[in-house]
Amino acid sequence: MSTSVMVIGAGPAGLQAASTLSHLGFDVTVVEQQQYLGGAVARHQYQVLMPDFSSGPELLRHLIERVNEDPHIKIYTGTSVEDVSESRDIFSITLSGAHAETIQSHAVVLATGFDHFNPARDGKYGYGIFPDVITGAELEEMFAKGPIRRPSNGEVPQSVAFIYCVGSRDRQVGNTYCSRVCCAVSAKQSIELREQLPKARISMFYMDVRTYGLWEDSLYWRSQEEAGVVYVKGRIAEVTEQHGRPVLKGEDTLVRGPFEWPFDLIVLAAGMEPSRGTHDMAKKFQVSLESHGFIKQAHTIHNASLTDHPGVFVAGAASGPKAIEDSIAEGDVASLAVFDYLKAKVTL
Amino acid sequence: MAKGSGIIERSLLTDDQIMEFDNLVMDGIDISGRWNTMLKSRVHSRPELDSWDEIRESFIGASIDNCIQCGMCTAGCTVAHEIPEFNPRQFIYWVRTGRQDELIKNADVIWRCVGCYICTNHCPKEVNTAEVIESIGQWLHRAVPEKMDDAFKANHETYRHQLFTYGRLSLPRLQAEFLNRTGRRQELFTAEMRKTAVKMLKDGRVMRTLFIGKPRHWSRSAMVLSHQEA
Repeated sequence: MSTSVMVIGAGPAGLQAASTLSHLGFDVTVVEQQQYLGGAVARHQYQVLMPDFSSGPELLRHLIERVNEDPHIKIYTGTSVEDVSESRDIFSITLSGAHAETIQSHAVVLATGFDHFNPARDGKYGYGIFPDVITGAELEEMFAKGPIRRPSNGEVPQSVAFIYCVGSRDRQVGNTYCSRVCCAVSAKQSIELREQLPKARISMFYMDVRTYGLWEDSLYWRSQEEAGVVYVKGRIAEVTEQHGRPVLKGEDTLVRGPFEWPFDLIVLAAGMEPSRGTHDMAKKFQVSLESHGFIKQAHTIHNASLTDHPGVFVAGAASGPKAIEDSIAEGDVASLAVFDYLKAKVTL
Repeated sequence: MAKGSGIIERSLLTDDQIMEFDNLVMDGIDISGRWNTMLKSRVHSRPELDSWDEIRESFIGASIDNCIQCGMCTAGCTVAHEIPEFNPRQFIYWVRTGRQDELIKNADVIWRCVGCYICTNHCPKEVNTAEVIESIGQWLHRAVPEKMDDAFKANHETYRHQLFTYGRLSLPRLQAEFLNRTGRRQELFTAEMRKTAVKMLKDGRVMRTLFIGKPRHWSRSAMVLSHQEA
C-alpha cells in the first residue's frame, strides 16, 4: 500500500505542497471546493504580483502544470470534505461534490487560505452604496479586464484614493491584527495605476505604512519617487458622496486638522480573514484556532506547519495573513514536515 | 507700537512667543526700547506628565493609553469640522507628550464637544474618546479654572449642582439655574416664558418636569459621588 497524503485547498500553498509531496514519494490527492485551481490568485485574476511585478498567470501556469502532469497527484476540484474519522493514525475522509468517495490518508495538509474582509460590514466606507468605492481585489480584476474606469460613469478617473487597514487593526470590526500585505499591494497597485493614469492624483490614506523588509524601497519609496504618489497620515472616518463623487472625511494628523476631499475612485485595501473553509476544516480535523480565528501553529518558530493535531499540517494564509511568496515557501515546509512525520511510521 | 513690529516675517509668530520690555537692563547695559525684543525658546524641554497620570487613573479617562493616533476621531468629529482648534486626537497626544502648555491654550476650546460620541463609535482601538476628552477637560477645569469661558463654567457647574443635589436632571430647573448663574435671571420672566409657564401649569407638565423627585437612597449615592469628587 502506498502512502497517501491529502492536500486541502489548491491555492499557491496547496499546489506547491502537492508537487513537493509527490517528489518526496507520496501519493497526493488535492481537494478543492472551487472549479478552478489557484486560489485567490485565480479568483481575482492577479496579473502583476507583489513584490516583484512578476506575472500572476505565469505563476499559475507553472504551479498548475506541475500538478496536472504528475501521475502521483489526483486533482479533485468542485469537491468538499464532508466527514473525517481517524483510526490508528489513518484519516478516513469522506468527500462530497464532484468526487464523492472516501479516501484513506496518512497525513493532511490544510491550505485553506483566507477570505478578503467584506467592507460592506463596516458601513463608514460606503462600500456597496457608492459605485466608485471598490476593493483592492476588484481593482486587480479591473486591471485584468481592461483600462481603469470609474464604475459609476465609465470615465477615466482623475484622482484615486487608497484607504489602508480596512477590516484590519480595528476592534470595531473584530480584527485586531495587521493583514501584512495590503500596504505593499496598494503601493504596487499605485505604481501600476500611474502607468495608465499619468496625470491622476493618487493618494494613500494610512495609519502606518508596513512595507516591511525589502519592500521598503522597491514598493513604498518607488511609489513616491517614480509614481508621484502622495501619502497622507490619517485614518478615514467616513466616505460620503457629493456631486456624484465620493468624498473622504479624515484628518491629516501631521499638519493637524480635518479635511473633506473628493476623489473619482476609492480603493479599499481590505484585509484578510480566516476563510470559511479554514474554520470548517479546523473543526473537522480537530485542530485549534488561535485567538484571531486562524489555524494555530503549535510551534510557530520551530516549524510553521505544525498544528496541535499530529498528522495534520498547515500551509499558507490558513495560519495567518501571508504574502504569496511565503505561502509557497510554507507549502514546502509542510511537505517536509509530513515527510518527517510519516517516515517514522510507514515504510515507503 | 504693535508687539514685535520690528520683526521680519512677523506673521510666523504668535503674540505669546514675543517678549518686549519698556525698560530693561541686562548685565548693567540699558537695552530699553526696541532693542530688547526677544523670542521665547521654541524648543519644548520639560514634559509635564502629571495630567496624564490623573487622566488615565480617572474612571472616564482610563482608555487613553489605547490610542494609536490614527486620527479617526478628529476625522469624524462633528465639532472639528467647524472649529479646527477642537482636535480630540491632538488633545490626547498633548496629554501623552506632556504638552500642558498647548492644552492650557485650548482650555476653553475643549468644552465645545457636543457629546455625539461619533469618535467613540469609530475608534478602532476602543478608546472611549468622548469621555477621555471630558476627562482632559475636567483636568483643565481643575488646573486652570480661570481659562474657562464664563458661560461654559456656569453650564458645567449647573449640571454638576443639579445632578449632585437631585440625582436627576430637569430641563426647566437647569435652564433656571443656568440663567441665574450667568446674571440673566430676568430672561425667566419674559412674556413668552410666562405664557409657557401658565400653559404648563394647566396641562400638568409643571408637576412632571419640576417635581421629578430623587432616585431611591439618593443620599447614599450622592455620598459616593462626592467622595470621588473629593
